[in-house]
Amino acid sequence: MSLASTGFLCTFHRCQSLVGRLGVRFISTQSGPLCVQLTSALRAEPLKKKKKTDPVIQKAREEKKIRRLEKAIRKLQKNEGQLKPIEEAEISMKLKQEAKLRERPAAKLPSEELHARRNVELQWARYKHRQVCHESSILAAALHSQHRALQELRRVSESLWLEAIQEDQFALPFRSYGPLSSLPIAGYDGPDGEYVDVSKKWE
Amino acid sequence: MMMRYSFLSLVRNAGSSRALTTNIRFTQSQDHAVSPASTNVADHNETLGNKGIGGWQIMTAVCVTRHPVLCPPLSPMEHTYSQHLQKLDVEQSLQCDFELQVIEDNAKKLLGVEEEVELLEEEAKEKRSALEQLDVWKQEQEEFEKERVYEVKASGGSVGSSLSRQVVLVQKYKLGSQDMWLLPQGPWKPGETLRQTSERVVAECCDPSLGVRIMGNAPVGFYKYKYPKEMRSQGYIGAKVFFYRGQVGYRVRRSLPLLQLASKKEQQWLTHEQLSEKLKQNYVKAITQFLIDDS
Repeated sequence: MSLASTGFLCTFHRCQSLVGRLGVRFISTQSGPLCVQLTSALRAEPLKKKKKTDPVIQKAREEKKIRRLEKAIRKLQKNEGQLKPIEEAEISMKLKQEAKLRERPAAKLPSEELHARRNVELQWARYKHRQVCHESSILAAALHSQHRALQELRRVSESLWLEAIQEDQFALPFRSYGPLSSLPIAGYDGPDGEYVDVSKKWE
Repeated sequence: MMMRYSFLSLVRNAGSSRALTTNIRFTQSQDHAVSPASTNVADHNETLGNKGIGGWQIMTAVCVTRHPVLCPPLSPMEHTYSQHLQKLDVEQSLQCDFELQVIEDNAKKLLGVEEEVELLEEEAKEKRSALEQLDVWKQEQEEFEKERVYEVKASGGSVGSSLSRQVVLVQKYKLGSQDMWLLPQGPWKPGETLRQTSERVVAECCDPSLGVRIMGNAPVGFYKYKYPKEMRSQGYIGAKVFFYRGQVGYRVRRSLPLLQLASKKEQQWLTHEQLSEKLKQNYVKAITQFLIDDS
């Protein structure tokens, strides 16, 4: 507060003296007040006196700082190739040790079973092939139908046709969702759980 | 993303008077709400701008579909193949903790090791044998399955019917003295684009909560039919119908109250088979060309 008021006084004082020196040119005829602004320099405080330190101690401090940084750099360089482990992707030690124990005894399959399996795969391939053919024929029919509709529309009215072939500006963004396995339960209130963050912190 | 979509749809609803590139003058004509039961196909006497379009009335019909809400059951082939895959999966996997425990339990039984230490109830839970545990899990699953819902309480022919199939909205119209089931349609009025006509038709025949969205500016199908003789006095020989595709918003498929919404009078939602029973064969033929079969 005191700083501001001294600042204000200073400027005001200077203005006055300017007016005195340069005559009427600095007298404003505007109805509003001239905004007297404080420059940042005026908000300054006199500098504190620097503490004198022993040059020996100062030098020691700087050296300490440099050593600390060097140590950090060395530490980083040492671990350069190592990546942060991803907890979920790691196979636990327990499983690694028990891998032999957990192996499933390989069952010798009878040739009929093998034959049946091959048959299932063959049938599946045919089934999917038929499905794809069916789908592409549906698409072709839909395209043909649209083509015909547009042709007919052009015959009916050129201007309507011109409108119809415009790009649909609101078609995107388009959102669609797949079917559900069961319906939502009416009035179901989902249980509240407690949120516990178990992720580990790596430095 | 969602915000953007809702904003866009707002813009579309408010300003479907998109700047027309051609010289058609657009007039807002949303207030012509015609109750479907009394709608006569050739009721609209407004003279066409150029009535000479061969003497045919231009109509726009909308094929409003509701996609399946529930997954349909697997087809026999799909079922066999998924079982086959499961078998392979098991064969190629390592044994899990549960399987190890079963083996361990069996070994204990064979060796006759019996723990005679009296166990507290909580400890007993942990010491349950694997197969007992399996029974408990199965029971839990059964209870969960009991709660699942697969059907909506809705009358036949409403939006919530045939949940695992695609259904299409049809409406009853009078053509002269005949009653006919058709896709919801309306006559084109001068000054509109066909897309705007289709939006008007949707607004007239569908509940706004269904959030029906028209797909694309171009018609996807075409059909023409002649009016009966007594109706030709108005100057039209018949109608040329341009079909648009419309989809019920995805929100409907997620919300029970919307699925329970009863359909309006003289309206029904039908599966593809029901369509071919109820509608005229020629009409069905025209529709099925662009209707993507879901079965």
